[in-house]
Amino acid sequence: MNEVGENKESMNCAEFHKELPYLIGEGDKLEHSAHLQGCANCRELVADLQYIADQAKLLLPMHDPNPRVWNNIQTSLEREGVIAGGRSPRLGLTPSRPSRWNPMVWAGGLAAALLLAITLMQTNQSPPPAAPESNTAEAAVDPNDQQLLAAVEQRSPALKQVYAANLRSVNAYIADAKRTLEQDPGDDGAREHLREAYAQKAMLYEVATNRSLE
Amino acid sequence: MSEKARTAWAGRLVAIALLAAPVFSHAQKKEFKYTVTPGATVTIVNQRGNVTVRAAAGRQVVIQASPASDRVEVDAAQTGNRITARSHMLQKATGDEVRVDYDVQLPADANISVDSGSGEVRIENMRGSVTVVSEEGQVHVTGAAGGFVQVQSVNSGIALNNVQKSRVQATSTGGAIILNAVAGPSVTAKTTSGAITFTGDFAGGGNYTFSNHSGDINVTMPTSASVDLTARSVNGTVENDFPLQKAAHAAFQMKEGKSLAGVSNSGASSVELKSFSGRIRVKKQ
Amino acid sequence: MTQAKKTLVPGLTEAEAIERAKAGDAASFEALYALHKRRVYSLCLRMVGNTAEAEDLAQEAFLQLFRKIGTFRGESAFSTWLHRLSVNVVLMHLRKKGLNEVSLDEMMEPQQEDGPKKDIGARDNVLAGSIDRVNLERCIESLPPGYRIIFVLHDIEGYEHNEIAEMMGCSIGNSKSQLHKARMKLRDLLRLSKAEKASRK
Repeated sequence: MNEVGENKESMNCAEFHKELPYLIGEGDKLEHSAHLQGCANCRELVADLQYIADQAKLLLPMHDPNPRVWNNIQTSLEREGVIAGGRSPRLGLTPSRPSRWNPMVWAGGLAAALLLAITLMQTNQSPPPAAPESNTAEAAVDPNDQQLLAAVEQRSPALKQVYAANLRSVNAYIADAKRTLEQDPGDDGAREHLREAYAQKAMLYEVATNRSLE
Repeated sequence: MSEKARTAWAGRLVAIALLAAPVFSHAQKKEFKYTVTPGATVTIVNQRGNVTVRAAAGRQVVIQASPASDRVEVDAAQTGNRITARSHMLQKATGDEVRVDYDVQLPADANISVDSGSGEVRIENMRGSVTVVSEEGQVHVTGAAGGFVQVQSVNSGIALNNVQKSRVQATSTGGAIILNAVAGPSVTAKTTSGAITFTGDFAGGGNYTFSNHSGDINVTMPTSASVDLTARSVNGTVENDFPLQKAAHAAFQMKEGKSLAGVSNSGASSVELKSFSGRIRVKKQ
Repeated sequence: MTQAKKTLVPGLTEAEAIERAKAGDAASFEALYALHKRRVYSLCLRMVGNTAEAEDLAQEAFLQLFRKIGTFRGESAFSTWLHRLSVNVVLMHLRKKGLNEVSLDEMMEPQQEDGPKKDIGARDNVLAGSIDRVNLERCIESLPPGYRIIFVLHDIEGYEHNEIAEMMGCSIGNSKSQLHKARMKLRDLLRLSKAEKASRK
């Protein structure tokens, strides 16, 4: 039902709906539509459609393929000779790391991966509930870890302490490796351990957030 | 007993049975059967409960699921050569109410993928790829030779036994990893706080890398093993009673009591043992 | 993150990994895969709606990419190249599936629609502020294939109608029309979901 007082010369709702696919996303054309200005129903419709489109833009890639996929790719590429086969070089033991390399830069890259997982949690979950009283100390003061634990608790309360304990372990690993590397930036072993520690933490985040369990 | 008394007793028995019913009302065990061609993929997704997977003769996949209550349902479907069986909660269920135990039999050449929350996972004698993600619950993989075994665990131990000719990746943050007779082109075992124990001959000329933050790394191999081995613990110790010939690893930072480098036989396989603060031990079998 | 600044492993940027991959370096291929797998797989999954096909398609997309990596000259971003290739792999797959499963041509035909007519005269609560993204993903998953493909390509992946028209072999007008229908269908699904949720309270 059109609202009282609408200009009789503008289109009716049915006509407007017919034109809508070609007006939406066309900038000013839609805003200047006389019908839209006079019809609350159609304004709501357009607002809904725009909102859906806006929300879709915010959907992040959120699924990882089964590890088997990479295995199949690697096997095929080796068979085809695209990948050079044979033993991989001892990358961790060569001294040829450029002196400008800063493990914190790499750590930042992996932290970006961690942040992605955290962002996924934020988009997939309603705001975490207020943390209930707990007798055990939380895993870490890192707010990202706190969010991970809140997400785990929502899904499976029994696993929260499991993840808390493992986050403590892996954070201790990271701290130890960083400390050693800061004392001796040339320590290749410590550098590799820092990488491993971040990889372990990334695995925790990935397992916790990429769950298809219901 | 009079008829009236018998009837009364029967009535009481029925009443007792009805009252007792909720205690025994497990959901019905379900069985799904599918026929597949070689190279099929079977995926099990289960929040709580044990999953046992065994290779069987023939071309059938048989999935037996035993839900603990009627608050959890099992869905299974086949699309082409892929089968997925998944547990999901029907209502807000807690604890063991969501438990489903799976028993899966399938052709050895199938690929198996298990996504498990809490519960033991056992996989036996598969020739296809094996991938497992487990939050809490021991994972045992025995007799695999399919080219790819990957196990990720948050808190539990991983035991791989007799896994051959496969790329192996075993990662557990909080659990221990035990590798017995595991060999392939690439074998990695990584933990944060768990011990890593390897027994075998490092066959196949592959790359073997074991790494942890704390906890022991114990390697036991026969003197016939052909390895090019380096071991280093940043803050822990390295102990060796295996006969290794010193090799010139020019890039390797040697530190007395904290590192080791050497070759056995032709040094066909590369072995790297890395612990941050744990003890590394290399022993002769 | 610009291509030059993406670090994959210590000291290795994406650009360096591409060069090493051209020389057959296994670790570089793996690093490139790790960097892009989520986006490619998510795209495939959203377009086809099931994990089995999405895995196969993601695998094929990466295989095609890696086989051709020697020809990548850096004229466009690597991710753009990979993305376009992934979309083509999915569309090719859908075309091959045959008319009895999915017909892209059929999907692109203007169809009778009674959705808007039902809306005329009805006043309902707006959706704004009420969409849970998990719910949105579920609703997208349940769209008919033709609607889903257009919606994913345009609203999620950001392709323009002229690009979609070229990829799908249809007109720009058809692309706009199908997108509108997809959004209308989603609106219905989301409103239904909202009403169900409200009735449970």
